[in-house]
Amino acid sequence: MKKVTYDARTIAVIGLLIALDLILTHLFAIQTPIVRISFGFLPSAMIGMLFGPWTAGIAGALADLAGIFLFGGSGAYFPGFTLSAFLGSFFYGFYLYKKPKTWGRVILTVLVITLVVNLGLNTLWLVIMYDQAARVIVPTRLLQNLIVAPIRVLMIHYIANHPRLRSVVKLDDGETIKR
Amino acid sequence: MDKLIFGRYIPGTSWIHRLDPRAKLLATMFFIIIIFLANNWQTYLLLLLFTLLAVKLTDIKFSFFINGVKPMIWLILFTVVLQVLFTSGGETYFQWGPIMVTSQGLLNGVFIFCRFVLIIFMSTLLTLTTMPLSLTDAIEYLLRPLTKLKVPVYEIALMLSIALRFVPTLMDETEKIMNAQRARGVDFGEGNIFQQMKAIVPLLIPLFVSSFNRAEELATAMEARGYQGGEGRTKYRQLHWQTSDTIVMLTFAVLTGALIFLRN
Repeated sequence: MKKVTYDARTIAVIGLLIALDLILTHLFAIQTPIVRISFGFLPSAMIGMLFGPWTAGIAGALADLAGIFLFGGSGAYFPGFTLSAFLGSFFYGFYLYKKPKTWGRVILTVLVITLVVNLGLNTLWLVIMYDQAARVIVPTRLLQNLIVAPIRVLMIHYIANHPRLRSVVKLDDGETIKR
Repeated sequence: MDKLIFGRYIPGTSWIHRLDPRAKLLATMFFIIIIFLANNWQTYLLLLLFTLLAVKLTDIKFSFFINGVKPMIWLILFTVVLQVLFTSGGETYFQWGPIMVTSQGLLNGVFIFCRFVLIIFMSTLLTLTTMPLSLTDAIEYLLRPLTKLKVPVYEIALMLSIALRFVPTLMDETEKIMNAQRARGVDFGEGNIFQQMKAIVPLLIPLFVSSFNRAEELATAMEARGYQGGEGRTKYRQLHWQTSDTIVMLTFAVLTGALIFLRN
């Protein structure tokens, strides 16, 4: 475990960001005929940028669990998706913690998450859960990810470099809140 | 976004409600694992009866459980249809290229359907009868061995509690910010995808800022009350393991035994 000291401030910030994650994932989403675009990834990315991969991973898994407690998740619970949530957030921390939030880096991060987690692991879970139906679900997911990935890149870059947010938190050196 | 019909917990005093959250959480997770043991009609029937008994014991209207299945129903039916059409084996009733309807396929379709519905029923049962905060306590307890590996279990549980506690608060906050934007002429949920995105972006920054501000206030309040880390912290909600919880565990052991005995 990386040395992040869990003082009251850190715990509070992560708790609130998980709450924001829940709201953005479950209550706000743009529903189009093909894809559902939600912004739950933004707080995850934020936790990654602030506290590093391990903490972000744990927070990601917690957000997944809390989503199930509160909203019943998206139907059938399967532990694999909690692991996916962990890894997705882990990568945000891995590539963006204490690093410059350049276009290249953000694109790399989203690319890795899309390929490894969304298309790799999640496909595996779908095959385990839905067996034959995965044949049809997987291609549609490929299309969804193709649409969502650029949006993620844009949004993360926007948030990470937003002057108003930068006045509240220090995103580069891993400290939490500016006093 | 309607005013807080929040979480799925339905207060009650049934036998299931009164069980220790640890027992319920363990049992539900265990159920999702052992359901993959079922592979013939005897085993599925057994699990079905077991689940219906559990549902009966909650004293919650059956329609709540059906509502849990509803959002998934198309995906489930779709899965079932594909399972039926692409499974070979047994007697063939119909064939057209790779598409066929066989006795094995039909049987598999029914099984997959049962598997889904049962998993959804059981997880619905858990969230309907257990408060989210109790579940957090249960998770904290069950993860406690990980403290040996230097995993900050107490802190993790506290983060989860804070998250659950602040979802309604942040929802109100969101509503306020949305109204503020509406007053300036923003239409939410209208127009094409780009217009919708453009409407949401100005919500995000204030939401983040307000989350950070609330966290700051909360941290100050925690420190003012002398919060200094997990170990040895006393609890407002105590968990009590009772005989009925042991009975649940034993029942699951018997159920698993029966499944192993009955499966092919």
